[in-house]
Amino acid sequence: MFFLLPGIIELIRKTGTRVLLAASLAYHALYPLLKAIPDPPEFSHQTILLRIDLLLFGTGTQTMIAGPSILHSLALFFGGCWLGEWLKQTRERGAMDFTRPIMPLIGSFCLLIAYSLLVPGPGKLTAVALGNMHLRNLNHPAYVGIYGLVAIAGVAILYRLSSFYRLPTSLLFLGRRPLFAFGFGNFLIVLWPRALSNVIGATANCTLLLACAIAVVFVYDSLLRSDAKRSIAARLVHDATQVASSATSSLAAMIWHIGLGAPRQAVDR
Amino acid sequence: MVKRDWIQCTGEQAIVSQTDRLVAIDIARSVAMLLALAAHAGFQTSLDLPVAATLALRIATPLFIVLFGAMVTLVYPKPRAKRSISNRRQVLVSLPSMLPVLLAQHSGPGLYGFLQFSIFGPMLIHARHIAFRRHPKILGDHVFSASRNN
Repeated sequence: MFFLLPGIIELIRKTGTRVLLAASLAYHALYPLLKAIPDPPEFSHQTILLRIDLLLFGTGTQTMIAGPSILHSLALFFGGCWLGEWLKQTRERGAMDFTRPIMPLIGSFCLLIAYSLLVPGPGKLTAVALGNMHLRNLNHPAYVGIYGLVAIAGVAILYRLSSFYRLPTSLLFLGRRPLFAFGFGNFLIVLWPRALSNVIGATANCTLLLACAIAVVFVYDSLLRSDAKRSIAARLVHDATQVASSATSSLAAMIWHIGLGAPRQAVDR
Repeated sequence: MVKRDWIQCTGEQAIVSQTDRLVAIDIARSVAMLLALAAHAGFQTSLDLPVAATLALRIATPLFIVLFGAMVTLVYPKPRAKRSISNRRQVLVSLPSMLPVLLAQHSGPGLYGFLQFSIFGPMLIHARHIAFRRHPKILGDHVFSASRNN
């Protein structure tokens, strides 16, 4: 996805997010046709072609790789782009009741949910199927429709509420350090002894694991926010992860040769 | 003096003031991260969750993708002028020095991925420094100027 990003940004600049969102929703409308496409053949007794197909296009009825596919998730991405435009406009104009531009976006996801209730094909919309990732792995329109609507409406509501209520910024450490939290959190989760559930119970084990992961992210965030001289180790980890991430996007930009441009620069240097 | 902080923006990074941050985005990302960690932790510890809880935990991934799209629009709003053909040649020349990035990209999750990253990480940083020194205009200097300022 990151390697496609420069091309996608160029596409957004040329055509706008609304057209691209409509196109990505139209791809969801092809659900019965996409599910009718037979799975690609095995290559040297390996399901390489099938995996590529599921990663990019999400055709067929196999659910061996966690969805949604890249093309199916573009509806969420372009929905987010539209949301970002709304946030930017609202912020620049300072008008908090400036909600009209976002209504077509919410309406389009409601339309997708209505379509998912009627669409033929594998997968029926139930709470269990939505919760156990069956619909997600099938790339069912209901998954993107319901969760896309919840996500977009949730962020919009949070934005409105944030102007009335102020949360202490120290509580938002997970959102400030997503790369570290995800990387370290998954590392800890993989190494965590599963057998501990037999001793202290699954609930206590899960709570303990979550508490450890959150505590480490909190300490990391606190070190970075404190005096730089006292947090050299944290900054080293931070710089290493960020440089890896930055290098990936730079390489993608170089390959596409359009350049992403520098993000917003320092305002207080 | 305005307090400085890092902001995550689709792989690139920049320093912005605390006052520039959208708190709603931070809250939403915090919620998504907490839900993702909880979902993975629940799976690892074989925790049986009720349907309502699993439904709530599944919000994490779509929320991340939506926030990703929102950040792209917020961070990269303006088109840039096209680059010259000579720059295109420079890009091709510097590509081999970025090969470790591709290797790091293919490292798997968990312990195996961590071990691979610990090997390719220093190579990656070294390659990035070399590429930056050769082509500062292409790669942009915001990352390293930010590091130096801190």
